[in-house]
Amino acid sequence: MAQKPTQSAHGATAQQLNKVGRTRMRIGFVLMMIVLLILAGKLILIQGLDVGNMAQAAEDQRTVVQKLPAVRGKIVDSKGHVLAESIIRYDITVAQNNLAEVKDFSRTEVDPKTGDKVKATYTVDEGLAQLAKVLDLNYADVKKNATGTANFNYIARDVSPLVEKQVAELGIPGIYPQAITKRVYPMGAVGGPLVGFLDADGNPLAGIEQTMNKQLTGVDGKRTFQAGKNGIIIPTAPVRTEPAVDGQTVTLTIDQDLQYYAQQAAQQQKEQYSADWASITVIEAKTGKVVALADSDSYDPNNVGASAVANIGSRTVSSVVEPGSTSKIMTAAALVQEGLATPMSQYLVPPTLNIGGQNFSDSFVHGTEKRTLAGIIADSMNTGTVMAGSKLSLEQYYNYMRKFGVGEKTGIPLPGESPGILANWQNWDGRQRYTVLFGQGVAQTPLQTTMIFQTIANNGVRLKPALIESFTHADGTVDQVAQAPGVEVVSPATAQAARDMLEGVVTMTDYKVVNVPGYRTGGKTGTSEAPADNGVGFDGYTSSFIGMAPMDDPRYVVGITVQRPKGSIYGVTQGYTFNQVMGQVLRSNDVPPSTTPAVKPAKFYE
Amino acid sequence: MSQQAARNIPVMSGSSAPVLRAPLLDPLIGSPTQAPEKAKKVRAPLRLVVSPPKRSSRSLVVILFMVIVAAMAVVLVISISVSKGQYELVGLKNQQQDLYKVNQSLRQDIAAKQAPQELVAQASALGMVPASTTGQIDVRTKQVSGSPQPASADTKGLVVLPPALIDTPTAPVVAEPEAPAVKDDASKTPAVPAEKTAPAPAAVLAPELNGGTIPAPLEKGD
Repeated sequence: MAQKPTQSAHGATAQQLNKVGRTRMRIGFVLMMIVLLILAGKLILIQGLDVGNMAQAAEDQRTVVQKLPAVRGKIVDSKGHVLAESIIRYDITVAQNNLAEVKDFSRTEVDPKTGDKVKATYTVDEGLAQLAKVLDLNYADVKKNATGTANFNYIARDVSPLVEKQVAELGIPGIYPQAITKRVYPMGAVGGPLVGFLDADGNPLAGIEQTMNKQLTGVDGKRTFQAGKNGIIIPTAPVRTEPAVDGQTVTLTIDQDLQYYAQQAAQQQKEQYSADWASITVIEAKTGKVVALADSDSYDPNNVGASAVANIGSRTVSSVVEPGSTSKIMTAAALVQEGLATPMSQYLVPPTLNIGGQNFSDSFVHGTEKRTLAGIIADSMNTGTVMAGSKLSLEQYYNYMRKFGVGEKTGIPLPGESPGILANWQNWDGRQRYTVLFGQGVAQTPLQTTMIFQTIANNGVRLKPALIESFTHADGTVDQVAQAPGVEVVSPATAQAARDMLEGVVTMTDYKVVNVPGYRTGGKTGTSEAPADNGVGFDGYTSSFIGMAPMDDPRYVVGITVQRPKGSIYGVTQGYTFNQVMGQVLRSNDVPPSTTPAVKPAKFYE
Repeated sequence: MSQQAARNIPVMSGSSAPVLRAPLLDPLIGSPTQAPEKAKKVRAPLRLVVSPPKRSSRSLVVILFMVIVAAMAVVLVISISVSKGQYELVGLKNQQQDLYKVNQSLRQDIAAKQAPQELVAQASALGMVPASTTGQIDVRTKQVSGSPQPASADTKGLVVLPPALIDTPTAPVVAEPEAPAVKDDASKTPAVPAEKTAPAPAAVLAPELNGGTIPAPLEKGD
């Protein structure tokens, strides 16, 4: 290239020179065009056609998707007291390798005297000592956990945000607080078996936490933004935020104070009689709302591990016991509903009854007595109940039991509910066909038994026990839970007759224990032999009392069940506990005292 | 349009223009053979164009300059206020976070104090006993029903249930090779005064942008 101009300078005319120059220019031009074309082509390839999805790859590299976790909904009682909520706690962690790299560190501090910001320098050991002080831990422990080569270790777990703030202010390099959400249950064991709990990974394992998990769980949001290599967000790039939708707040029908009282009472009964367990249920008669559902030895969801495995769950819904004499009111109601008897129907009750080759006697010794049906119920006579009840066909009685809810789950939203044990009437054996009339040979949960009395209290309509009042969405809208339609078991007139007989139990018995001053009450005791846990024979008793008040227009039903109380069964009574719990329920809910005189159905006829 | 028209008219009459002018108009063209061709493309004769009366160009420049300066000032002010607002926003967001934490622990305290177990304990500490008997007063008839009796100091309540186990020592993690002796006495630790806030670590705490456009640095390997 360089020689050409010299050659032409020697022997070329101006025209030749011109021509050569023009040719060179053309060649140069063509070359430049080619280079430009390549560049342009490459540009189009990369920028326009995006072969190899470079733009996408680059954007992917820049794009950071940050999860915005949704907060799990709260569980509150009917008055808004928090039973379960999620809070932010912190784990204090250390990157040991990062910490090992530094000898000392500095932070700006505010001089307490002058108020100026000063830079203070500390050695790592001084920093760890400060950390130990803030965390209220042993310095040696902190030092041990912070020393090593691992890039992750815990210094302390589950500290409050206030402590975390102090830790962050220390500014020790390599010490990182990590936010965690934690479920806390401020009421502890009060309502614990109803509320349930979560495992370490946040999976619900019991109670409302489990059954209402879908509603309690929110929808995680996310924030998408673009960040440079150094982690700094590019301000001009679009930031897309999908906000998290927090879980719904579940409002229970439970009244925390009554729940506490009922649990206290259940615990008291359990301890007083050295029983296996005790259960107390309080139901609002007209709505089926569960006001309290108490089990003895309720676990504290904050520390489930401290409770025995057998106490995890609610026995009120999961344990089945033979109901005993409380079932007699079903027999009586069925007889009245079928027109086979009235409360004043007359029965000549022998000391012992032999029927179908089976002998039945009562818990007290008596001669042949002229009893009304109300009198039979009042003194809880097995003989009289079998005499009267045998007028019902087995199928009829079986159907009534089914309609009263025996043998099927009540549908309360708690896990592990038992449907009870009710054999088909065709399979009842020679004795069972009579014993079912007074509540033996059949097993029910304490809740099922209480719901039978709710049916009587609510004019013969059995409702589904409601535990959830409403759901409150994150945006504040409230979904009231509609009352499930009830099952009409007996007519209002029959229910009234049954209530009169229940009040007779309170007013006409010789042993007057049940008494809530100012209120007319009615109820039925129940004592049954408890089948042994190994399934062979019987072991101890189940003692219960289910009652309602005020009888003018029953508002509440209280069911008490005590499993295997020790000592003489005749000394065991749930009457006083009923008085306490029912009294507390009526007073707390401002139920006006009864204004009508108590019903006293005659026990005997002349 | 008028300018264009004025330019067009001489071109139309170009054929009658004298050839003489060609060299004058095109002095750079050295070859005379090209002159006749070029002669056709003569320019219009120069003539006086009456320009419309106009303002002094100096004042226009000044006005324009001032407009530009004003616009830049406005942009500057807006920009400053926006970025200042962003700093304020980030600061307020941090403050909100702090308040949220304080609020959370206060709410927890209230919930713990509201728990029936705590109320019972407080009441017993004050020497209160549960009522053993109750009665009702009918305000219409002024009758007292039931048999209310004064409570005696030795009245025993029902058994006391244990309080909730919150903020109690947490068991060390099982799967941890070097399980630390974990202890949390968070509730006992008094709240730190807000004045002590050190700015540097606070930034580490706020990985969230919280709607602001000024980013807090992200922690690597978090």
